[in-house]
Formats: sequence, structure tokens, C-alpha cells
Amino acid sequence: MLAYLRLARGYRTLALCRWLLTAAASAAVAALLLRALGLALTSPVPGTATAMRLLWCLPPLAGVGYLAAAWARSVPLQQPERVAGMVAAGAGAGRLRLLLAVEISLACAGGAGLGLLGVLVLRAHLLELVPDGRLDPALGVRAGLPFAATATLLAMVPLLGGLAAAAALRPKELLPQEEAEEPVQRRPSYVYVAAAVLVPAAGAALEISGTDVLWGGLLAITGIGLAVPALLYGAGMVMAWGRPNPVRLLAGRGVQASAWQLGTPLAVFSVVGALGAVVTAKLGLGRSPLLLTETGLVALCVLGALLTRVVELAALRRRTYAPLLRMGAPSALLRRSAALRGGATVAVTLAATGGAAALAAALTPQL
Amino acid sequence: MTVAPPDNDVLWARALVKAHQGTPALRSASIGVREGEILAVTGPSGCGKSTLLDCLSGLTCADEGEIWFNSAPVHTLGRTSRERLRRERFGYVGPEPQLVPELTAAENVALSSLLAGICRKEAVVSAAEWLERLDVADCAKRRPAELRQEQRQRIAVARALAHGPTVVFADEPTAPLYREAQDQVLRMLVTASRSHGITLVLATHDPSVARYADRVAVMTDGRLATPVRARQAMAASTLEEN
Repeated sequence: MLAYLRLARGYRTLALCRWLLTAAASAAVAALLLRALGLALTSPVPGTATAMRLLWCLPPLAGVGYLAAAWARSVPLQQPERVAGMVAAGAGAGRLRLLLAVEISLACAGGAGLGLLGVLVLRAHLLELVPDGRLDPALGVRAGLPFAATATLLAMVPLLGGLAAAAALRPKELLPQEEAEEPVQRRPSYVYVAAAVLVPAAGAALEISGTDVLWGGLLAITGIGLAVPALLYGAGMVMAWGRPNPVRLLAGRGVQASAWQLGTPLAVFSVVGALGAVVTAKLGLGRSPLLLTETGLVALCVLGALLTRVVELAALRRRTYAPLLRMGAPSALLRRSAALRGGATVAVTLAATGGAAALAAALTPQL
Repeated sequence: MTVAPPDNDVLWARALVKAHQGTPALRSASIGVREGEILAVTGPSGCGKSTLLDCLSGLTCADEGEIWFNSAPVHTLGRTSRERLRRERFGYVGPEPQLVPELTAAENVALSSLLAGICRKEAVVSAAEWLERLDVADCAKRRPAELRQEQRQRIAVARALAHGPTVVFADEPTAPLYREAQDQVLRMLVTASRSHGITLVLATHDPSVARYADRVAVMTDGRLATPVRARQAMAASTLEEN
């Protein structure tokens, strides 16, 4: 623990923000879990309603797991000196994985503790968030909090965070690599491209023809997510087509190189956004502030994971550009190429999200 | 008072002083590089060879001293002018290939010409020619991650030469290679420089590299001895060995 605190003292602003985001999301999830417990304790007949309440905590919990995984994945590229230092000190891939997983699950545990504190404060009426004790039944004020159930629910958050982090780290990628072992840039396979075209087309056809509106729409939205990396790769290829100038060449190849690494969180972002819109519209977002909280939480986690990846890739980009600076490439050229790359990525994302949103909008009134 | 450099020196430096955060790397190093020659700077690692090359190529500014290139001062130039000098008149091969990972071999080589302001068609043609000359034409469409270290270093050499530089700086260009490949790569670099009249400044810790050079300057603790002809340097090192 002491070593961990020492590590936390060395955090820079960005790492601190990520730590805080993970802790805040964990706190919110812990509070939601405890609220489900409270509801179960006070409801006269335990049944589907309470079980459903608990099940609704799963998407935000998955969101925290996704955020933890993104954090863990970003460490080798973003803090190579830290990984190199630990390897030099004798930590192997397994121990490194364990250390990072523990670090992340401690952030989750801290958050869960804060969540518990918040719930206890609300239960003890130290803080009147909602007047007239309207929250009392949900918090299970009349019943005492059973220790075992509370501990189990709270332990879920750091456990899931740590497991997700450990699963996201591949031992091979974790150790400092020779240039030779860097992943070879993958070209989308024909099967994948075919799937990226056919799945959304089939889904949209199903939805428009009216055979199966809900599943067709969901299939189409998922398919659009599937297509995002391929779209990015294609956009990069078009940018570097023919005889490009250095700006176009660097930007195009950069977009191609980051098609998978950046495309995946972007796809998750657009799919979750569109699916969230459909689900909340179907269930009536306005009626339930709880659902609003959960949707917001998932969105926050997905956005946090996306930003983590963007920062991680920016660190990678700086290393890529070192030889260019050595060759005397003007920094204005590098800035222009970065702007072009960012613009293309944003355009592809907007197109994909717009498509998914249009499908979602077409879907909503028919449900 | 500024002393004009000798006319036959393409690159000339006088009394260079440079410290890295207080640690002295160059202590009054002076050198003159003649046009079209191959000058080896030898010395143990840590003696300031890389810093000297960085200063001469305008990557970093020396704390004190003067650098002249083609009778024009380099030490008074601003950052953008030095960048321009680096991309148009200088080439660099480092101890690592340092290729841009997302570009193919041919694009990596063509990029140096494109940055130097050569038109796209010519850049592509000259990149193909240089890859051919360095025996890596079959790697043209592959990315650095798919290639062997030796092939990558050859591509780095091609990149340093493709835009027709006046001076090429090579800092331990054979460091990442095994013995046989070391000789090959070095021979190619030297042959290409000679046939194209390019001046080559070669920094290496290996005294045997001197056999490729016209003159050899030995560096010790940030100071440079006056360059001697390679044959004398070879004789001196043989004497030391005996």
C-alpha cells in the first residue's frame, strides 16, 4: 500500500485524471449496487423488480471494466520508462501484469469505498439530497445493511476492474520490445470487409422492410460499429493515394496505422451511443433518473476509454516523429499532417455515429 | 573576431563547447571537413562523437564556438533555417534505423526527397534507384516491422543519400548489425558517397573502420586531435596493438 501511495505521488496530471475518472465511476457503480441492495431489503416481496434493479447495474459495471482495461493497455506505450524500470528491477511479464492490475483495482476499491461512504451519509441523513426522506426505501434505511452482502457487492467493483485490467494486458506486448517485434500493421481481410459491408446492409434492409424492426436496427447499428476500423483504413488509403505530398502521405498512413487501435474504441463509442439512445427512448429516459445516471455512467466510461486511447496513441506518434524531426521536417508540416489526420478520423466517426443515430431515430417511433 | 574558414573545407568548426545539463560533452573541439572526403571520427563511447555530429548537423546548438558550412555560418542560424539545412543539404544515418513505422520502405526513402522539396515523380524514381543500389529493392513495398534489422539499416542509408545531400553524417551506422552485415553496409555507404561526391562524416568507436576513411580524427573526452591520413592512423593502431 505504501509503495502504491508512492507511485500515486509520481502521477502526472493526465494519469491523475484517469485515476479520478476510474474512482468516480467505481463510486457511482458501488452506490448503484448498494441502492439495489437497499431496495431488495425494504421491498416486501423480493421478486423480479429487485432482480431487474440489480441487473441494470451490470452495464455501468461493464463500463468500469472497459475503462480499467483501456487504462491497463495504455501503460506500456504511455509510460514506457516505468515498465522498463520495473523490468530492470527484475519484474517479469506476470508480475508486471499483477502490479498494474492491483494498481487499477486499488483505484476501483478507493472509489467503491467513497460510494459506500456516500450511501452511509445519505442513510444517516447527514446530508439531505432529496427532501422528505423519499430516498429512504431505496436506501433500505429501515433495515440494517447486512455486512456480507455489502462486502460482496462492493468487492465486485475492484475485482472486475483488476480482472479486466489483467485480461487486457498481453504479456508479450507488455515487455519493452525490439522494433522488430512491433506489431505488423494489419490490412483488413476480405472476409472482414465483406462482413463490415453486409452486416449493416442486411440489418438496415431488415429494419426498413419492417420484417423485424428491432433486431434489424440493432444488427445494423452493430454492423456500423464493425465497419469503423475498415472505414478508417480506407480513408487513410485514399488520403495517401497516388503521388501524395508529405503532409498527405504522413496523415494517410497515420490514419491507416491507427485504424485498429483507434477504430475499436471509436466503434464502441458510436455503437454504445446509438444503442443507449434506442434503449433509453424505448424505456422512457425522462421517467427514471436512475436510468439516466446509468446511461451517463456508461457514456462517461466509454468516453474515458476513448480519450485514454487517444492520449496513448499521441505518445506513440511522438516517437514516430522523432526521426522526422532529425531529418529536419518543419514542425508546421507535422502539425498540418496531425490536423489532417485528426480531421479525417473525426469525419469518419461522425459519419458512422450519424449513420447509427439515423438508424436509431428511425427505429424509435416504431417500437 | 570571426575567422573565415579555409576555402577547401565544406564544413568547419572551431572551439565547440557543449554541455548536457552541466556534464561537458565537447570541450573546445575544432575540425575541418574537406569537400568529398570521408572523415572518420573515432574514440570510445561517451567521448562526445554523437554530440559533435549533432552540433555539426545543426540538430543542437553548441554553447560556444563556430560552425561554418560552405563558407556560411551555421551557429548564427535560427531553428527553421537549421531545419532547412538539415533536410536539403545534410543526410543522417543513426545507430538505429529510425524509420517511420507506418510508411513502406520506398515511402521512407522518398520522404527525405519530398521534404527536401524535390518533385514527387523524381522522389519516387530516386527512391527506387537507391533501394536497388543498396540491394533492398525487393523490400520496397514492405513496412519496417516486416524487415530484418540489416535491411532496415540499408533503407536508412538509402534515405540519407536519396535527396542528394552535400554532407552525410553517420553515427555508429553499423551498431545494430552483425559483423558481416557491418562490413557490407559500411562499404555501400562509402562507395555511394564516393561515387556521388558526397562528403561523409563517420563517427565510430571501432578503429578498424579507419580503413574506409580518407582521414581519421581521434576524439578523447570532448577534444579532437588533428585529423591524420587514414594510413598513418592504421599504422598507429597496429603499433599500439603490438
